Amino acid sequence: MRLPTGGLIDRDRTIRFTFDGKAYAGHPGDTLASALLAHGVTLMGRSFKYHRPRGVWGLGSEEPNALVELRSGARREPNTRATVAELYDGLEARSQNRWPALGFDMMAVTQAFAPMLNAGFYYKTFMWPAAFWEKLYEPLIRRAAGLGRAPDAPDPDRYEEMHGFCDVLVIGSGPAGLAAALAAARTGARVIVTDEDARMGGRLLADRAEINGAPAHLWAGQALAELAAFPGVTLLPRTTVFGVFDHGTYAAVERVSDHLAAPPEGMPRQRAWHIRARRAVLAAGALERPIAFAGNDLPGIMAASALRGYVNRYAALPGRRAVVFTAGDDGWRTAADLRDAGAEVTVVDARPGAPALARGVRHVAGGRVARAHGRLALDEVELTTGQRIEADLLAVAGGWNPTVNLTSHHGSKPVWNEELSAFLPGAGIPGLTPAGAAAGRLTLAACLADGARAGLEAARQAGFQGQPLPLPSAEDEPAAIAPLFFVPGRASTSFVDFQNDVTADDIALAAREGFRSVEHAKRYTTLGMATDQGKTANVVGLAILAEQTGRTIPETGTTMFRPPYTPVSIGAIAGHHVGRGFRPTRRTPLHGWAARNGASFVEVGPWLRAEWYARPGEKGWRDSVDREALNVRANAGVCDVSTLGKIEVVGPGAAALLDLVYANDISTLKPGRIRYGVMLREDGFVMDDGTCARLAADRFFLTTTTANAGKVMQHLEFCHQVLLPHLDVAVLSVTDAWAQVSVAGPKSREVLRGVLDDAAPLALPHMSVAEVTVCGGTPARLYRLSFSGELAWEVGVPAECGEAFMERLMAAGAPHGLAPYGTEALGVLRIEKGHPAGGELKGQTTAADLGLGRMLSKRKDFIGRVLSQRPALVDPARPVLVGLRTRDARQVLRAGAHLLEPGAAPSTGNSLGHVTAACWSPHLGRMIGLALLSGGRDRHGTRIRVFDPVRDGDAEMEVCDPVFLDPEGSRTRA
Amino acid sequence: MLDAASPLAGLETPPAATEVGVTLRELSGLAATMLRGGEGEGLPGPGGALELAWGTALWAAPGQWLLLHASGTVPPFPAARLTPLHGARCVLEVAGPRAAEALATLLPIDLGPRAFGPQAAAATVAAHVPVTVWRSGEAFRVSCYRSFALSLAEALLAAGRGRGVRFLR
Repeated sequence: MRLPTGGLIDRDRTIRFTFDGKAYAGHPGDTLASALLAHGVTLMGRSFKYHRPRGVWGLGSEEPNALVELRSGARREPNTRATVAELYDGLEARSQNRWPALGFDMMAVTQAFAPMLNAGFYYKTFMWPAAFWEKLYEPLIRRAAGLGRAPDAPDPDRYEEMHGFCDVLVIGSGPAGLAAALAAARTGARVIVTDEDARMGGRLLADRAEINGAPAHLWAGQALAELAAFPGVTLLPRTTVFGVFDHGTYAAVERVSDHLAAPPEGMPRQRAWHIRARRAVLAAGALERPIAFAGNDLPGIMAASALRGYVNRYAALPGRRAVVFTAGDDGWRTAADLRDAGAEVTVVDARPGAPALARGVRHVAGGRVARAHGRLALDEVELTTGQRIEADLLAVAGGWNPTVNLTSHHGSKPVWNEELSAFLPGAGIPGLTPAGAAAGRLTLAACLADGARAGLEAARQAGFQGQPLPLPSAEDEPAAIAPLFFVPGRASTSFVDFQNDVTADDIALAAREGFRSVEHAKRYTTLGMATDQGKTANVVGLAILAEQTGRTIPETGTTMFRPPYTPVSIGAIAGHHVGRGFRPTRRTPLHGWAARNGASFVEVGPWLRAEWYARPGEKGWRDSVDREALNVRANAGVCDVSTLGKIEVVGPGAAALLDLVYANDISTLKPGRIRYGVMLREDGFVMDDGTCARLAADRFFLTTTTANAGKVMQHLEFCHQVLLPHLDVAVLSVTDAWAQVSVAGPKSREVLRGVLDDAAPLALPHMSVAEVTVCGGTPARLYRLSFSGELAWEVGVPAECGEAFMERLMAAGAPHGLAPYGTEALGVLRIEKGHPAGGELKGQTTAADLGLGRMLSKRKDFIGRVLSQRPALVDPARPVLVGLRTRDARQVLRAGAHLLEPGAAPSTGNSLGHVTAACWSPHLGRMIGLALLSGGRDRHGTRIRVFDPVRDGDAEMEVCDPVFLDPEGSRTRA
Repeated sequence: MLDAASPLAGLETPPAATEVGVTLRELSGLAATMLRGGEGEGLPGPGGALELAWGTALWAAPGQWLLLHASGTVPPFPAARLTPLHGARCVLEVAGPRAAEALATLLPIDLGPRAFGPQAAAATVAAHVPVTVWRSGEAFRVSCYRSFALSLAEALLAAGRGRGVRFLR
């Protein structure tokens, strides 16, 4: 029920929502859990394995039980903790893992098989027969396991990344966090404060405590107002720091729109923060742990601190008759709050001699709860003495576990503290200081003082000066505790890990079967392996394992926490890197022109290149490609080669650098001339090929293949900076400066006459370069070189003029039959000419393999020279570049096929090489290809078996010279 | 002379926001030139940008500066030390009260005034695009290779969504 007064909810406004189709109402400030509890609904879900009825255990993100499915359609969201789901108008929530209904779940029969389903059940049960695993067991297990259903449509929401920088990051905004933030902010430091909750204040909102003589939540409000007024302070509510990484990097997720039905226009659903903090204060508080006893998972059984949080913050009291089972003083605070809220309260204090800390409640000193009774909710509490107490609420105060999770992310192992019966943060977390309850200071005044100290210290370490924060007046509440983790009894229903349904029995079994190591026991029982990472379970589980193995808890050790602290959606991590934003696209300066002229595009690394330009009436890509290739050899074609890597090497040391990098001689090249060049890797294999034009004595212009542009640039810089640092030279990427086209074909000279302001440079010989102007004064460069085997030039114009140039060029070329050609036709032309490209420049071929052996300079040193002469690299049996010619127009040749001696058995050992490239040659009227073939140069004119088992290819073809057309090169020199 | 085209010609811009938090604008008519060797000539050091009478100089690498200037002009240095890059860079200006916040969704660097004051420049990445970013008065300028311009502009527009973005043509 909702208490008539109190709570931090807005009673003037009502929010309507549904749970399992039934309508409820709540108020702004409510969570789904608090609103349901205010309606007396305690049953919220079914457990993972045994389908046991479960209700709310906790108050925040540690919740292991109350997991529900929110929303519907593409926004359906499984396994959301009802304790952190903020209410909004129209919220649809459903329970999960039950059929047909939450109150009557057929799957609960699994409880009858519980003895069979205990730890190691999979390993023991599904061993044989082996064939059953794939067909029967796995599908069965998959169907039975899991909780909610993932959405089956793409996520419609947007996610955002955010980079935050601060001097002091404060994680948590309870008393310690707020004091730390104030102390740091007052020094002038940049501060980011995060809190998981929509409303900042931590336990100050959930406990009845006083600061400066007034309710503590008022002080929290004042502190937040002061913080918000600092320009250097960023307050991030609804934000979970979920991971700690090197160099003060913290990952956090901000739930920007999770509290709304849908994100407002333009707003992301969630925002992933990368926070770089000079120092951080971990004020993440502590989590109350359960005590294992029979039936301790029934709805109505809650953490004592959570129950009083629901009473104080949400004015929600989900029962009338309450039992508080406590191992320490803290449970008495819950007892007092429940009593004042109007409940009838019995305190069962496990400590025999402990005094009563609240009046007006019944007190069973030295009592222990042995078993909780009830079907879908708690009816009765049975003590070890046999005494039975009728109750609909059982608050369990088993002691506090400081939230050390984030300190583990750097590998720091938590340390057991005997006095608190809890693990405290280990030492040596660089830049991160735990404070307040997270550091084991579990009382209010201590939290405030510790937070203020840690905040100031962090700011000082970040280089700021300031005075200690004047502490507000507050008291330390009684907080004595006697360790109590489990009550021996029916261990098969004494739950330790609620979310994974791990019982005290399971842990005892693991210990008996030899899984004594905490890491082994964890994996064998799945203790702490649910999405809550055992926030409530781990310490209780360790205590039972310690008892079973006759060791202390510190001897038993503890498992470590890993990121993420709470589950994080993949969407938040992907951010805007989805769809087209997955990676950037590079477009050439002629992209728009190509798109307007029928081009389709192919991805080449980050680039989009025109693959062919379809014309009306063409039935498929082959029609377009054949036409384009034929037109180049008959008339003239133009191809966008802007994506080829372009590098200028400038300075007095340029020639010396290039002599080292290229395998052939460069310094002998005369200004105004171009040379084809090959670069080797240090290991002697070919790295890349391209052209090198000498523009002036101290200026070279290099081209690389599109794929290797970055690698070559990196290589040149390495060679300069590491091998030849004394050279005065600069290596500049100029790829984006030029719109570059190849104009090829017998009529290309006539075409270019139409755009060059002065046609004289067209008379320059093959492999020459000239600075020219085009189209009335636009500076350009004219390179006479050919990849197609035709008379050809490349023209480079300033990138921004590319499209305008293309229009003028096409107009000038129209009378000569000029047509654009794409990368496919380019590929056909180069195969016809036997030029090596991607399939041959694959990092495993030498210059000699590619027929370029004569290019290796004998008169100078160059990178790769020595290792290119290794015996294996000069072995005459190495596969070398050859051509392959099909016997007729019907024979099919595919890249990747293996080459075998005719008659040899098809085996890996008999493979003599493989086909590296193949195409339909419209000029030869058949398919042709390039291949790497062992002893290939001596096999020209012979037959070889081309064997392609993957695609059912097996035929004999003719080996030939790789240059299919015009081997003398007369067309190029025309 | 041939007409210059913008690399952002194909950019789809959102409807102008009523409350403008971020404006995005291409600085057109700019040309880029690389300068080799310029120590002791009043050019900025590493991580620096300087607006000079003829344009902007950005430190690019040891002994190298990227010069941005009006297209058709030549920065006042010996020609042998210059390498014209024409329109190889696209320069976008990001301004408005929420400019830094929008950029923080993309840039992994601290744009706060203490870390990134006047005359600061940085070579970094935005949505996997290599960029140079610097301050120009209250505004930020982001330059990238021309071929990446459309991708970068799209990422900047996405960063401005929900922050009142307006693209100024």
